[in-house]
Amino acid sequence: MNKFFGLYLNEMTKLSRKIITIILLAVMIISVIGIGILFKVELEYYNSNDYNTMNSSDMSMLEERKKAYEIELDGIKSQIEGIENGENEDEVSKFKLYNQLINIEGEITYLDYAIENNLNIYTNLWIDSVMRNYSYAAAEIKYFEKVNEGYEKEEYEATLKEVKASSEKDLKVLNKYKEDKAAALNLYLDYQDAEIKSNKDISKEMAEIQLESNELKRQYNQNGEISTYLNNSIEKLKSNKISLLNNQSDENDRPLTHDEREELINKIAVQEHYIKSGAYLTQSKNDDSGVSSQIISIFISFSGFFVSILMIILAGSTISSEVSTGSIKSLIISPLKRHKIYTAKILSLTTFALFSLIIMYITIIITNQALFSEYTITPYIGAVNGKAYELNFYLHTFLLVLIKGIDVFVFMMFAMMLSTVTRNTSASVGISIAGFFGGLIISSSQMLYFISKGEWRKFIPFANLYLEDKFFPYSSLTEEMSGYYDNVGQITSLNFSLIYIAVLLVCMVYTGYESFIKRDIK
Amino acid sequence: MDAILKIEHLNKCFGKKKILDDISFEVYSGEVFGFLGPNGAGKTTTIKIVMGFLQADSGKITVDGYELKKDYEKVMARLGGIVENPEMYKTLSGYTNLKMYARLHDNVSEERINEVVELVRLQKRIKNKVKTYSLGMKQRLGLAQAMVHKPKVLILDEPTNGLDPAGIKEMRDILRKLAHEENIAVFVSSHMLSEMELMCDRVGIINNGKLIGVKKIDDLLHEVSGKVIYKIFSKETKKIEDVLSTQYKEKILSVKDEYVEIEADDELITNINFLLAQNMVHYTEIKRNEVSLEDAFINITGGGGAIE
Repeated sequence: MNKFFGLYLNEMTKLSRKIITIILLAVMIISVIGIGILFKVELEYYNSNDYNTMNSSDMSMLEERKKAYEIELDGIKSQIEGIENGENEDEVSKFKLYNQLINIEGEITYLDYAIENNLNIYTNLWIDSVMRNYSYAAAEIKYFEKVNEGYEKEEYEATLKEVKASSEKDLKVLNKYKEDKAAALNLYLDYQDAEIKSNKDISKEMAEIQLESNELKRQYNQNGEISTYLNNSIEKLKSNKISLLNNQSDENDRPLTHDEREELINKIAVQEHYIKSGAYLTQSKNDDSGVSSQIISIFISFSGFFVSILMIILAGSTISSEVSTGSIKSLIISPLKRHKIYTAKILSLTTFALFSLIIMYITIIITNQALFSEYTITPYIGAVNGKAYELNFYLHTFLLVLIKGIDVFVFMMFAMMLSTVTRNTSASVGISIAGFFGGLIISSSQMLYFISKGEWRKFIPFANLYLEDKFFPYSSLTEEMSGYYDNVGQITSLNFSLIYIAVLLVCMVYTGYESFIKRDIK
Repeated sequence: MDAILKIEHLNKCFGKKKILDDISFEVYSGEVFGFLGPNGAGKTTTIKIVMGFLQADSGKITVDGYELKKDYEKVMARLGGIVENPEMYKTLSGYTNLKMYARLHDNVSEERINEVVELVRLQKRIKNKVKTYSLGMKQRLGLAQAMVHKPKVLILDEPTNGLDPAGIKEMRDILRKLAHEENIAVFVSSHMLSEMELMCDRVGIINNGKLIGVKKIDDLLHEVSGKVIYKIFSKETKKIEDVLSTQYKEKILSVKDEYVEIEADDELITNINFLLAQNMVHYTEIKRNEVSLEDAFINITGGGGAIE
């Protein structure tokens, strides 16, 4: 046992004295800091912009759009004139033309209003929709007679009244917005509430869900603004609750399965916790890119990249380089059986991988603390049986690093097996790195998910690596909430992947042992 | 004397080619045993099997009563050695290399490490990285490594490779001292008989994978020495043949255009000299040519096994 510990110490000495170790660890630290600074600069740039008003290039784009619509408007008007002068008597096309006229006039009025009041139509979504409704309604009222010819009088007047009433409400909100933005939003929500309450077509539960959602918006009304993130998550929460109520998923027209229902309940719990804990308030105010929420995961995948390469190089040369330089001799003539030598090598590489991961963790935490402490130190929120729980930020990050360590370990053992079997450093390092990159490409492009629906996909190693999303299924919720990315591509379950990886490791380690113990060293 | 290293009926093939064919011999404590043979005869293969690099197809190896296959770790703890060239971890210092090796054995103290470093006279450079060492220094460091755990059998494959004459002498002295004073069995392989002559007590000769014989070095030398050949250089070699053939026909070995070869002792060559002078034969030189050990060695091994 004593001698075996000596062997382990020797292996550690060799690993730590390799130049490549120092170089790659240094590059890893520098790259984390560098990428952190890059994102910091980008974030500062985003935050320095004023999102309530538009800049000059946005403005001139709107002007261009308006001009284009005006030209189209002239064309339609002259066509209508032609019909009315009796040159063309097609009633259907006249009706169509008037509808087009309404749309174009509505758009022009809308653009006029935006330009006149310098409102950013790209970010403040709710006021944008009010503006649009108002403008279109105005155009509709103007040509109301023309498009609604032939209706009965009672119906005609009721519809006109309705349009006018909603147009009036919109105008009130718009006028209020000029004086007090927060009050305008509240007024807008009040009108919506009233509408929901008076609507007899929807059930009581449905109405409650919608009212609740408005209440949340009211709560996070920051001077008439709701950040895009928050708005999207509130909307997503609402739609999930409706799905659960109707027992029907968004995408498919079929009842939810038991698992889907459970998952939806968990999702709702997480989303509610997210919104109510105010996690979004720490996000950058108008952060469309979602940069800040992803910084940690970018740090981990970037630095994990270097740690993987380092461990592949160390493991991929472990037997082969000793054989090629001949230094294996002093191991073989030692009074220890070959299986002990191999075990010591595996243990020392594992220790070294853990050591590198800890350095990686410390670097990430320090960089994050120095640059992004106001954005990202939020806990992970998960849910079990419909109850949300929080996981401390530092612990969560550490677990993420450890999960990355699983991939590192698999590729390390793969490289070590190749190194033992081929006794060729270039081949084993090259093949392992190619596999590493191939896996990254396949997993990041969701290739396996789209390529086929067959069961065989489950047995491809890359479908069972990169387990972050399986351990923490709600990490990508922020992306999902902002509507960019739905969590597709999970072919296998966590348990299946863990068993698969265990079997894979046993096979690789066994092959390595057999090859090292049985084969002659010439 | 006890046989500390026993090799019995060792066979090994690489593919279909037979490398070792039924090799058996013994090495005793307190002797330097030479393993002699041309390149490719199977010396290194035998050593690699004993040291655990290769597995024999059949045969038995015992060290100090323990069998290699059954008590691998006990056998290896009793062996020390260098296989081919000593290869160290080049980026580490000589001392670290020794220390790392010492960790794999029981009870190797710091003092013992310093002791062997002194023995191979590397004190000044031991803290330097191995990549800065000359070949001779590496060889000496290899020897230190092989001895650091006080093995009962020291196995060295071509230990004088790359050493200068002074280094060879030094190595020879160290090995003889280890064997005769510390009662270690030293097992040395070489393809040079002249080196073995000065170093070894007994020699085993191997060729084409077969052990030709094991002899005491004195017996071997006696067998191959004692013959002296003289070359008489002259432009009149025909005439010399005529003059000598009357009395000493059986002593003439060959007649060439430039010289005549004659087997003779001191007395005979004096007579021949006189005879040639009497017959007015002109010659430029009489050269004494001793049969070298190498020639004798080639005779024994049948022309060397390197070219196959």
